[in-house]
Amino acid sequence: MAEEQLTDELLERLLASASPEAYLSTMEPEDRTLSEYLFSLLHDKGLSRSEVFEAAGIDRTHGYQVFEGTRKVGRDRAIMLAFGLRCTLRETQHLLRFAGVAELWCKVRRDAIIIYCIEHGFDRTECDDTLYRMGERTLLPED
Amino acid sequence: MDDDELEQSLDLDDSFEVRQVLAKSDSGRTELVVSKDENYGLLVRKYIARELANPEAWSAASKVSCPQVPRVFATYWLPDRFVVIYDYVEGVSVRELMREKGRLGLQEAASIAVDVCLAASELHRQGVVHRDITPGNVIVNNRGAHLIDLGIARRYEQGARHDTTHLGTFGFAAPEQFGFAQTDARSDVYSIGSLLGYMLTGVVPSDPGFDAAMEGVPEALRKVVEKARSFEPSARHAGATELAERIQSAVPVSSMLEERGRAARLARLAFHTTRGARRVGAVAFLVLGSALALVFLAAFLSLMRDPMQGTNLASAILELAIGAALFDACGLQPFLVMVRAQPYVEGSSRVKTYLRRCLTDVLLVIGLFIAITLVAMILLPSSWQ
Repeated sequence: MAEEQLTDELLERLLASASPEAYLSTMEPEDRTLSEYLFSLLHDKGLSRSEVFEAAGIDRTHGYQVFEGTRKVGRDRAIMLAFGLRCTLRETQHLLRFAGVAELWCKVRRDAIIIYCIEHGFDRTECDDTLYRMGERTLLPED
Repeated sequence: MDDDELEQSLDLDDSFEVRQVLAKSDSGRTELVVSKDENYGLLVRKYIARELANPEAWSAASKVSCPQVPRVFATYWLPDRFVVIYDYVEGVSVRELMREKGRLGLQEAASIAVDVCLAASELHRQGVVHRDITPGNVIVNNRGAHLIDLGIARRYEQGARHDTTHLGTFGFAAPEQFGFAQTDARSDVYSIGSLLGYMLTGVVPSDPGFDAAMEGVPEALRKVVEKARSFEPSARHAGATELAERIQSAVPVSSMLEERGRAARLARLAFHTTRGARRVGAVAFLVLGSALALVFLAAFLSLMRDPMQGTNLASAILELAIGAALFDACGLQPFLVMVRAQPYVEGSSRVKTYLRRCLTDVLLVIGLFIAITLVAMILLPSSWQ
């Protein structure tokens, strides 16, 4: 999982190809599931699942099932997981893509705040504090 | 599954690094792992789906301390699975050995069978029936033969009805394993007998040519195999130990005993050396500890004689002693627990053990302190106004 090519670069290559088949034949199949991606992030960063769930603020049983691939995850929960896994912005976007939800878009006020927090190394609680302070819905639902 | 349990299980699960996936199926996965924290060597981690889990068999097996049975390291639950971690046994399986050699000599086959009998009898003593003693589950190395994989092992109490998934390997499993009769130690006896027959002839017992091939085996040993493989459990040997004895009396005993004797002597030697070094260490600690305790007592008593002395040598020693005791309770003991290579017992964790020891030590120190103070006050009332 060393060098993930920038989506822009790949897009350039696609547009420059003679045909879709030509481009696809040079591509490495990106067949990973969310579960595999999560485990590879875990492994690369040397984290333990307990730490991740704690930092993300996710219930352990749910978290376990998400990692195993037996439970689908919503967008907010996926972002929380990204915080728990200390993902970079690029990794977060990949995670969201694998989870089948929309990536973060800086034109949306809430997403912009979250992007800022990720880039500045905030943890999940700090991000939620910021969101709350700025009148947006927090990641962890207020019950 | 409550959250704390899951946290412990997850931490334990994450503390192993996967070296290789050995097998994968619908019912679970078997991996070769190592511990990230301690140097325990190669281990096998087996994930078993919840419906197929047999925790009682594994926890009983963990009580066995026989070299022919791999040590069960830890067992824990995950929301959808049961996980077992046990020693990895390096070596060649009998199946591979047979593929190489075709047939084994009398000595080798008998020696392997006797080792398997030993392993089986230890399991039986804990109330576990293996139920899958096959060439693939017996590993041979320079320390003899080892019985592995308790995948379908069951405790005696549970009836055969509960296990409908894997009934046993055809040809090696006893007939009652496929029916509705209770399986017990004699089912394993049947399997060991089948294994022995296979090793001697190179023909699988389920093959119609098996009986003919057995004609070539010396009579005494052939009779042992036949008896072990009787259809009726009561006609077989009563247990694995009896089977081992019959095998040993059928095959020239001297060479096997020699092999055993040498191994046993080597084992005893290793044990002695470690024992000696540890003994010296323990005595040193004891002497040091007692000396410190005596000094503490003397300082304490002298202080009790005249508490208004203010700070002096006695009170300094006292403070030092209390500090040392607290260091031991809160520092040394937890360190030793963490560093000691203790195999996990089902359910408990290193953190729990450490907290328990730490707390009991601190309470003990405080309790002792109060007790000695009271005793001193009673014995030396004159020094108190």
